[in-house]
Amino acid sequence: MAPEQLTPLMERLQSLAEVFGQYLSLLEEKKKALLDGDYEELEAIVLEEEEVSVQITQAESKRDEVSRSLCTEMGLPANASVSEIAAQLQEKDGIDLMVHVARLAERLREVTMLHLNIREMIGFHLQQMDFLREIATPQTTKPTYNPLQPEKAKPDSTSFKGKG
Amino acid sequence: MRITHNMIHSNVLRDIMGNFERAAKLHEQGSSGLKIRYPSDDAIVATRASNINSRLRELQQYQRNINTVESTLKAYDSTVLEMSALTYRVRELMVQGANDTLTPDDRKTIAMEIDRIRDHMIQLANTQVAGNHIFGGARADQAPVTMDGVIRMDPAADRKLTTDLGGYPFAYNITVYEVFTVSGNESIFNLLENQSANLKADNPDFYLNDIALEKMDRFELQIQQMISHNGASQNFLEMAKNRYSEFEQFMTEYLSKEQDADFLEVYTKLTMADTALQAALKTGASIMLPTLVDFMR
Repeated sequence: MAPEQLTPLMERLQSLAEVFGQYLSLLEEKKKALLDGDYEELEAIVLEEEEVSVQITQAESKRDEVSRSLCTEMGLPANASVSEIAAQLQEKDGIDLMVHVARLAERLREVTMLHLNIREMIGFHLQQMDFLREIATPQTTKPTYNPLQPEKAKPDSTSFKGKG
Repeated sequence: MRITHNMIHSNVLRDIMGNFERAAKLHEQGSSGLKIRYPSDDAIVATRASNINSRLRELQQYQRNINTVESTLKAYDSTVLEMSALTYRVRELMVQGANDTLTPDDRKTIAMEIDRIRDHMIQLANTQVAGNHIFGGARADQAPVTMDGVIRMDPAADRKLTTDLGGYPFAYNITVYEVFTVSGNESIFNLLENQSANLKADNPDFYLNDIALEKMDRFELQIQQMISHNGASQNFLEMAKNRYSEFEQFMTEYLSKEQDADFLEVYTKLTMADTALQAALKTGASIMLPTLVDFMR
C-alpha cells in the first residue's frame, strides 16, 4: 500500500518541473536578448524572471511541506532525501517517484547550464561596456608628452593582449 | 607706432597665406571626408580619433581570434557527432556479444568491429585543425594519443586555453582527459581493447558486465557535456561577433563624422545598458533553493 502523501509529492515534483520549464524558456529569451544586444528586451525579461522566481519559491515550499508529511507518515526524518524515501517504498512506487525526480533533475541541469552560460555572456557584455565607455568618456585634457615621466606620456594607452 | 609699408605688406601676405591654408584644408576635407586631418585641427577630437583607430585595429584582431576559435569549435562539433554514433554502435555490439546463441566466430567478428571503432576513436582523439590537435590542451603540437591507444598527453598540459576577446579571457578547448577517460586513468581505448579481448577469448563471464556498461555511461555523459559545452561556446562567440560588428560600425561612423554629440548619446545608452545587465546578473542567482538541492541528493 503506497503512502497517502506519495501521489501529492509526485504532483508537486511535476509542478516544480513545469515552473522550471517556464523559467528555462525565459532563460532562452534572455540568451537571445544578450545575443542581439537588446537591453530593453533584457530588462523586460528580468521582470518576468523575478515573477517566475517567486513561483518557484512557492512551488518548492509546497513540495517541502508535502515531503515532510510523507516522511512523517513513513517514519523517516523530516528532511530525508528522495533516495532515502524511494528506498523505503515498494519497487513500483519507488520507480514512479524516481521517474518524476529524474524529469525534474534534467530540467534543473538544463537551467543550471544555461544560467552559467548566461552569466558568462553578461560578464562579457559588462567587460565590453568598459571598453566602449573608455572610448566614449568625454576627454577634457589632451595627453601630452612629459619628458620627466615618459611612462605617463600616453595615459589612455593599454598594452595589446590579443593573439597573433 | 609708425606703420611702414613693409609691415602692411607682411600683414597682407600673412592674411593671404592664412586664406590659402584654410582653402587647402577645406580641399583636404572634401577629398578625404574627414574634418580632422592633423592633430592641430582639433587636438581633443584628433586624440580620440587616433584612440579609436587603434581600438579598431584591436577589434579586428579580436574578430580574427573569434574566427580561429570558431574553426576549432566546428571541429569539435563534427568529432562529437562521430563519437556519439560510434558509442551507440559499441553499446549495441556489447549487448549483442553477450547473446548466448552466438558462436565463437560470431564473437570474433564483433570483436573485430570493436577494434575498428577503437582505431577510429584514436583518430578522432588526434583530430587536427591547422596543425593543432584539438584535444591536445596546452601541447596542441603533439598528438595526445599514440596509435596503439595510450594517452600520452602530459597532465600538465591538461588545461583550458583562452583567447582574448577585448580583455575577456574566453576558455574554449576540451582536452583528451576530459572526454576520453572513463575511470581514473582508464581510457575508452583501454575499455574497448578489453571488451574486444574478452569476446575473442570467448569467456562468457566477461562478455557484458555492469562495470563496463557503467564506464560506457560515463563516456556517453562526457560526450553530452562536450556537446553542451561546445554549444554554449558557439553561442558566446556568436554574441561576441555581433557585438564587435556593432562596435566596428559605430567606430567607423564616428571616424567619418567626428561628432562628440554621438558619444554623449552612446554614453547615456551605455549607462542604461549597464543597469539592465547588472539586474540581469542578480536575478536567478538564488534560483537553486537549498531545500530542493538537499531533497534531490
